[in-house]
Amino acid sequence: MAQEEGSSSVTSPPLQFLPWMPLSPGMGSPYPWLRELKSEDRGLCLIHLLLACANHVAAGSIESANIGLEQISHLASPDGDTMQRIAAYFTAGLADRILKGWPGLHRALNPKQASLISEEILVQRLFFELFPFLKLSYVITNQAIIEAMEGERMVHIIDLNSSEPAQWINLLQTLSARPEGPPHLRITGIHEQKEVLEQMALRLTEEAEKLDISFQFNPIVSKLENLDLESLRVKTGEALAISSVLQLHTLLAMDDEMHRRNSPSGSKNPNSNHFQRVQINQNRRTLGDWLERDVVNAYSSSPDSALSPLSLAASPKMGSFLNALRGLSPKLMVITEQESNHNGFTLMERVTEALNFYAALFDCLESTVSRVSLERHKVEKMLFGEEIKNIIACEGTDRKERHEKLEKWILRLELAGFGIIPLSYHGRLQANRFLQSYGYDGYKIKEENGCLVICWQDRPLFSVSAWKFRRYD
Amino acid sequence: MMSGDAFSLPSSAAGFSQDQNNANPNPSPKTNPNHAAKRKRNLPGTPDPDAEVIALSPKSLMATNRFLCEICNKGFQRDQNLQLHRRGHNLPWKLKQRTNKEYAVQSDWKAHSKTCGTREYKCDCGTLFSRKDSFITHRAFCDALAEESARITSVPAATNLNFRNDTVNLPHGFPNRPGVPDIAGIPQFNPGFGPDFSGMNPGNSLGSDHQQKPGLSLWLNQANSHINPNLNLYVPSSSSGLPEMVQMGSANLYGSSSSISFGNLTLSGVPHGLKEEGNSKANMVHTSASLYSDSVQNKQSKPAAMPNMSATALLQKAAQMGSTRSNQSFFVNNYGLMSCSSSSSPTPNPISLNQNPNELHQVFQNVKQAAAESLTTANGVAMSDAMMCTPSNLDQLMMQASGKLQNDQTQLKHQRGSNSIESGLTRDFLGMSSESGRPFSPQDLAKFASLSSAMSLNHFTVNP
Repeated sequence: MAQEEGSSSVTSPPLQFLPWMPLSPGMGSPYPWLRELKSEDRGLCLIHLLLACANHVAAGSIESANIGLEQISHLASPDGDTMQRIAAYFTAGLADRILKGWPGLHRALNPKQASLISEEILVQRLFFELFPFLKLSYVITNQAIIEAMEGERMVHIIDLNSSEPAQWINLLQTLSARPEGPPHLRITGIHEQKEVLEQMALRLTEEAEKLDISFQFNPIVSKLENLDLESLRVKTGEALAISSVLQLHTLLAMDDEMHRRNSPSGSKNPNSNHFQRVQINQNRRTLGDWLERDVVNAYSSSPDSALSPLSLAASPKMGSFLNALRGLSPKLMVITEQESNHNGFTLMERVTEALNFYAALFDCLESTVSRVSLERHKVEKMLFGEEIKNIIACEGTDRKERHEKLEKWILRLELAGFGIIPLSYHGRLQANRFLQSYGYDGYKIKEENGCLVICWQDRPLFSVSAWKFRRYD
Repeated sequence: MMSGDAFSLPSSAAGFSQDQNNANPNPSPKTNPNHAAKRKRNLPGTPDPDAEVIALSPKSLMATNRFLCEICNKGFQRDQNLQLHRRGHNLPWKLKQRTNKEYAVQSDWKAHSKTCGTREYKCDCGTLFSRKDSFITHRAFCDALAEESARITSVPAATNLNFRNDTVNLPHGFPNRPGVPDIAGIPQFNPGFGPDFSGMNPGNSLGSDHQQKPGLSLWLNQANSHINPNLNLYVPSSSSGLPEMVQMGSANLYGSSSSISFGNLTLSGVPHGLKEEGNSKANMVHTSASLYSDSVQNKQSKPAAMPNMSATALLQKAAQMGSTRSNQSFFVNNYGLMSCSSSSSPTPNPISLNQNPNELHQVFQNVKQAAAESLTTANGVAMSDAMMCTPSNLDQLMMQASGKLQNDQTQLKHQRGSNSIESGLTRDFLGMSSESGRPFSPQDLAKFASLSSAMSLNHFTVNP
């Protein structure tokens, strides 16, 4: 491999001995040769700069972080190539985090305003359109529901984030073709916005009427964390299924600092083996499984490790929610989640994981949508950008995007009394067929522990798993 | 063919019997007894005029092993017995067209022509079936079918490479675009469905977003139907369901296309994929092609300017660059990012760039070298490896790139009271903070750029 010393396409940099002047990128930049950088070199620079800057932010070195942000701004751009775009949103997140150190400034720049509902709906719809992930999730979920509800005359589905009518329209159509005829179907939809639920109700009842299915839609306008499950009025004789698409992780939001301070012996020395042994003893039910899976982590890891008992002992909200769900005795629960650990304790952990995860998502868009597309820009900015900002800049109960990997969900749910239902071959077949009809190379579906993982070029991105309530206990 | 009712589900027997209309039913108990109709046998002594009768010597007739099973080498006197025996081996039933087979006994010939003369179903993997239900079952699980679909995907059915600047190349596009229509729920009915679709021509599905929706539904319904062929859960019964599906398709086009494209997923009443003479394959090709063409178009209208390295590949490369350099002198302290609890401060040697411009140069020399090494060894294979850039990779990167560890006193002045336990993680990878507060002089950035561009990246053709 020839090593060319600074030849290639870089023009010899004019060695300007100007004092440091922060200038906006582009025309007035004192570093015109920056534009000469090949995309790949620039990408590598951006990665290094990003990590360095994140480090400074994590350490509280505001000055250095500031300079780092400035440097990155010369290279990053929301309209550039993949790495440039990612860098743009990550720096926005880092800057937001720094700015929170000055609450007055932060609030002045981010006034509380009622977000445009139509914009939010639009962005969600774009995510549905531009990627196969939601569609695949719906296909797999519905197949699992069909299989679980075979023979049931009354089916009740609780949708934890009822925003996309297509999911249930598909189910209605499939149910209407059942040999034993469609069941009476009731769907309880939960969403924060009334308008979204109204739309859902309209579309679904229309479809059900057309298909002549006895159908009822119950809207519940509520945040998921405030949901009172007991009020859902599950009727006797109903077979209950729960669908959670990219929602459950929000319940992991909690006041981390307080939790760590208040946990029994964790505050003094989180690394102590003693503490971890105590935790283990408290979870006798799945001790075997747990040790099987995670012996090393259990005894040697710091609290930052994804599978340490400290982090699993987790959010009070999640615990009570799962308990309440169990109380409804669901026949089936299908959970779709992001397959990445964005819930690490330290910022650097989250930044590195998020970099990898969102790099793949941005790559998907780069491969499938043109760069000048407004829709792509919207998804990148208003969906991914906001998620990234939440992961980086928010803490405690504000940080909702607490994605976790499947292995952790499995542990968590098993501890809560649920058992995996392996997704059927037919479900997987349908998903694969859908993917092929979708027509894009690059997306793959893998199977893991009876669950399905949707990947982009071997990088796992979303997981779908099915659960039942374990009656014995 | 089948009845036009969208929701009726034919039993397998009924479906089968219709196919048997052309075949001679064989009353012989040895062969397949599943017939609804029976033909009158010709009287013995009046053989079918078309049959070729060949005289065989008694000796050869009575030879015991004229028909051999290729699997287990068992011999049979009659071909019928051999076939019966071969069934036990669970072989795919291979059919040949119009064989010139010789039979001494006419009933045997009749039995054979039942198989030879039957309308056959051919799967894309090459297996032939005489029975529809076996065909269905097979197709549901045929891997070749899966590959075929993938191949169809990659064949560009479109030559329309227009780079649509203003409109979005969405895989399941909105029916009437420019820009984004009122998605938030105002129904958009889209008539004008029929002609395009019934044409079923992959060529003219370009730019027409109508077709992909029923195409998708058609395809998926086929998938559905293949799932439980025996239970016939989703087997639609109409071939004349084509216009029906068109109706249902267009009826489903209300609202935004997202639900359309998805909402049509399981249209019953879609013609079953099984038509005679490989029409099924054509069907699927056409309908799938209508999807593919649009998506292929999308693919090709993305900026073909440069084959950019994907972000995931870049990250992987960055991690590798970091991990291959473990022996550099200035990587003094290897603090893992994870062990933030132990926050003993690193060497308090503020290294200002002004004092050590050579250090920076050194960093990138080594980066370049390492990149070269990793590239020559990996030769791009690393890039295509499973991209599991776990935190450990980037951890290593951070660990080993933490050359310029500083506990700059000036930094502490600027900390806004957020002295978390992470303070020990101060890293000054690129020597960004220094006494003077001006980490990158123009000269250094110049070197940075020139060196990084020379970082053995000629391997990839990338244009600025």
